Formats: sequence, C-alpha cells, structure tokens
Amino acid sequence: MLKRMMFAAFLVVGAAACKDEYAFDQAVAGDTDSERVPRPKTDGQFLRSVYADLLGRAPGQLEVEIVDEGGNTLSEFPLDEQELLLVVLDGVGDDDAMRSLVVAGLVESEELSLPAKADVADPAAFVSEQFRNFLGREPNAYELDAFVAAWSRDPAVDPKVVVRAIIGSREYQSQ
Amino acid sequence: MTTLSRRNLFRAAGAAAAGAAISRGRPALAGRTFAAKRSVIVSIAGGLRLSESLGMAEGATMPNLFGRVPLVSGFGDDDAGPTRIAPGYVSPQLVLPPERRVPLYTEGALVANLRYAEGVPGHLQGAACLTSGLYNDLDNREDARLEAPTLFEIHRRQTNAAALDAWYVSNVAGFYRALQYGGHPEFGQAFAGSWVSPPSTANAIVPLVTRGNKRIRLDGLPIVNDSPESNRAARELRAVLDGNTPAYGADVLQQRTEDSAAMEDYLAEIYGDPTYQSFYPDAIGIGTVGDGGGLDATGDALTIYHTERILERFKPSVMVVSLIDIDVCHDDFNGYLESQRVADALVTHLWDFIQSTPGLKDETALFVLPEHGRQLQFNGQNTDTLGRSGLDHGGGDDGDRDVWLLALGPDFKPGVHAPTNIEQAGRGSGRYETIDVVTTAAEILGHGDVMTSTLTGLGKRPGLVMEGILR
Repeated sequence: MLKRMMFAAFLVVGAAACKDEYAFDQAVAGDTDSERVPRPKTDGQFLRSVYADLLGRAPGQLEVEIVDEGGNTLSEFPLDEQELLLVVLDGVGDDDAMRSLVVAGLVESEELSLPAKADVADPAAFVSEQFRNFLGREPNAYELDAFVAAWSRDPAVDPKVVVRAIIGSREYQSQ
Repeated sequence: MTTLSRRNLFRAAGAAAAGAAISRGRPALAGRTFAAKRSVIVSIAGGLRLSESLGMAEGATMPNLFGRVPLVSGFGDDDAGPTRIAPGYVSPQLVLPPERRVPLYTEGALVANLRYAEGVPGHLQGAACLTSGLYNDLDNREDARLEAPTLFEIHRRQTNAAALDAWYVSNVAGFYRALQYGGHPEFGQAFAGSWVSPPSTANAIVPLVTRGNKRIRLDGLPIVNDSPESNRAARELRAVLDGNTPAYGADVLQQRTEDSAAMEDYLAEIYGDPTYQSFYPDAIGIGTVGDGGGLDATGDALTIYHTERILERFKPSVMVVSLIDIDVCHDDFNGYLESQRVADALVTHLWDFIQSTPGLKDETALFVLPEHGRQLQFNGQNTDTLGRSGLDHGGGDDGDRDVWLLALGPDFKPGVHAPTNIEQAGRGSGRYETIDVVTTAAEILGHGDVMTSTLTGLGKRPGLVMEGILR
C-alpha cells in the first residue's frame, strides 16, 4: 500500500518527453458588456476558493506520516495540496464530476467538523448559514423551502450534502 | 443538416472528386452492416518504428502481438530472439505474463505497410488524426481545436448517444483534452466525448489530500465517501440553485447532468475502495517490481487497466486510447524497447479481456497502431553500451511515417496485408493510411459517410474504408 501512496505523490514528477504545454487563459480588454455570461472558475481558482471557504486556509503542504499496524513510522513526506489536486482535476474531461469528488473528500477532512444531521436542531438556520458562508447571501424563499423540504424528505440529505450542493452550484463555481 | 447535401455533392462528384478506390479501398457508404457494435482504437503511442516492432531489429519486443519472426522484409526470417537490452542498462524489473503461444496477429488483419502520410509526426497531432481521420498540425494547446469533428462528436450527434458512450482514454493529460471535441460548427462541445487520463486520476491523491490525515495507518487508509445516493441528493439540491443562475456560454464544455453523475459514481467507486486495489490491482500482473517487491503500474498499464474498467462498465460504442510510455526513446533507447514489451502485454490483456467479457466479446472491433513512427537516425543522446542512442520523431522521414495496423474483431479478414495499389486522388502512398483506420472505425459504427462527407466539405482528403481487410 505504501508504494501506491508514494506513487500518488510522485506521479506528477514523472512526465515523459514531448509534453510541453502552452496554456492560454483568454482575456478580453475593455469588455463593457454588463450582461456578461458566467464562466466557470479555473481549477486553480476553484481549489483556492474551496479551501478558503471550507477549511479557512489556502492549499499548502500536508505533512504525511505513514505508520504500520503497530504504529511504527514507515515514511514521512510532504504533499503539495494544490499541485497534486490540479493534476487530478486535469485528468478528467468532465470538471463537474471531478470537482464534486474533491469536495466530497474535503467535507470529511480532519480539519472540518460539520455536524451530524441529527445534531442540527434548526435545518433552516443551518441552510441559511451555509448560503452566507459560501455564496455570501441569504437563500431566497424558494431555495430555503426546497432545501429544508429535501432535508426532511430525503435521508441522503445531510449537512455534507448541503455544503456539496452549494459548492457544486454554478453560482459558486462561476468566476 | 448540411451533411446530407455534402454527401450528395460528394457522390455526384464521384471518383473525380474523392478519388475512386479500386478493389481494396473505397469511400464510405451508408447501409453496410457489421458484426461489431463498437470501435476501439488503441494507439501504442509515443512513436514506434516499424524496424523495432514488426522488424524485430532489436529482438522480439512485441511477441504476444507479432511472435518472434520478423513480419516485414529486410530483417531476416529467423527467430529474432529476446529483446536486446544493453549490458549495464539499469531499469525497473518488468513483470509480464507468460507469452502467448500463438501471436495475436494470426487472429486478425495485420496491415504491415500502413502509412502516416501527412501531418506532423507529433503525439498530439497523431492522436488527433486517430480521433478525427484528419491529418493535421494541431497546436499543443488545450484550447486548440481541430477543423474536423472527432469520431466522438459524429457518433453522439448521429445517434443522440450519451457522453459515456464515447470515450477518449489517454496516458497524457493536459493538452490532450483538446481532443474531446473539434471546432466544426455543426458539431462541437455539445457532442464531446468523455475524457480521462488514468495516470492523473487513478491514484490515492484525492483521498490522501482531501481527507487531510496527517498520520495514515496502513490498516485504515483514507477513502472518499461519495455514494450514489449522496451524489444524487447533492445534484438535486444543486439544481435548485442552478435554476436561478445564468447558464455558461456555449463555448464551455458541460456534459449532461446524468452523464456527469454517472462519471462521478464511476470515479467514486475507485476512491471509495479501502484496499486501494481499484487504482491498479496486483492481479493484473503487468508492470514493474516496486520497492517493496509488489507490483507497480506504469502509465500505460494504468491507462489500459482503466480502459478495461470503462469498457466493462459503460460498454461504449466508440473509444480511442492513447499510450505514451515508449516516448522515453528520445534519450532512453532501452527504455523504449522495454516499454514496447509492456505495451505488447497490455494490448494482449485488453483483447483477452474483451473476448472474455459478455457484451464485448465478438462485437468489438479493436484497431491497434502506432500514432506515428520515429526517425531513421539516432540522435546521439545517452548512447548505450551497444552504441544505440535516443531516437526523435517529427522530422517526417520514412521512419516517422511507416507504421502498421493490427485489426482484431469479427469483421476482419485474418492475414498479413501490404497492398500497394490503393488509389485515391491526392494519395501518393498507394498504401492504406492512418486516416483509413479512422474511416473504417467510423464505417463500422455507421458513420463512415458522415465522416467522409464532412472532411470532403472542409476540402480535406478523407480516409477510405479498408475493404481489403474486411470479410
């Protein structure tokens, strides 16, 4: 198993030849169109915003210690969170699916403590708080009703799913 | 759609416009039926010369595909022996399955003189040719677009198929995403194929990094919990929000919600496996010996393993797969030979998997070929103890352009083929060409005429259906 985890860490380094890439981020100077069509965040923008809004920090170095069943240290190495996750995000042509999976992992991060569903006494207040946290606004009446109704009706809807839904929304994902 | 009128124009122009194919090649026609229901094109990419593969000039590097006796003239008629690795060369020890007793080429049609006739002999350009049937000089940029539609787009538009019915699986990520769809105005991102690079995604990065565990026990590896139920629930709530938000512009690639959800479920299964065997299982038995003595994957191995998983799960109609590991040849000739051995085992594994899987067996056409070759002259980089150095590609000599095709499936006529009388206006080779492979793959799907008429409408020379290798 260790080799597989290490493999994950050094994959990005092992590029073969002929992989030079010229990335262009299109920009329009002097665009005065106030009806601008939204564009999705780049992968880098997405990662930085989701780390900031969810974990309260920027992506950085994760110092990992691998221990065996007896608790003995086998290896220690750093993982560059942004560099590694950018590689993963770049590896799937459907940004929506891969970003959703990254968030599914982050909502269970050791750094985050979302409450269990049973511990949320006021679902409407919880939902409203998440709208403020991630979108910077209150939910409108329709949104709040829909979220609270789903909370009651659908056993799969819990705090993690609420957060994932908001982060996955086009409103959050747009530049 | 204008394709119909283009087709009519094409037919009216007949031989003069498109080039009359003589008995062994012809323009695509509608209406023919095939036993195969899907076309899978696998490119043993990175630049593979005829001399090392079919010529076996450095020993039999691909014995499972081609046996041990050279299959092209000029390299003798004797057993080529084992792969000739230079004394002193240090590399990871390969793990390979036992060799097949009967090489695969005997079960299919081997075109031993295929020609990559035009376009830059570069990896992206060769891969782009294999997705579109268009020789091209596409820029190495993620936002570069082919003039022609890809096979994915043609298939999806013509059949209203889901994105998960058309896949591009690539060892290389980055700018290869440009090949999900082209820039043709009648097609485009609405019909883009699904695209994944297993070496970038099929690893423990996501669970390791996102879970943030600083102390990881081998008996409790982190996973990502993303059940189909939570995926569904999150997407339903997300739709509430998206209903109030302006849509992205038409130039932004967005797969249909159900396709994205299915893609997420597929990847979630991989990241949710606490054994980590879903990334690359020891049982596949192809790779290199790792530090701890276990099996390590190579980039090509991950690519083929997950190609099999995608085929098994989605049974797509069209798939293009790009390997790349042999490209180490720029400065590692021995690594080039070793990577051929691995690719040989992997492609054989893929075919055996297809032929042992209900729903794939006897209804899959598999086209295996290099995307281009490599130049004839060594480049002087990192000369080994046998006097061999690296080999580049891109100059466009015969080493770069003389390649081969192995076609496996129920519709191919077994045998070794090397026709030199293939005629078409603008075709100087007289041989089957790389673009013919794509046209034939499209023809099997029922889209050969659309591909042909679309390319003709762009003023490009379309490929011919490879009549001579079809039953």
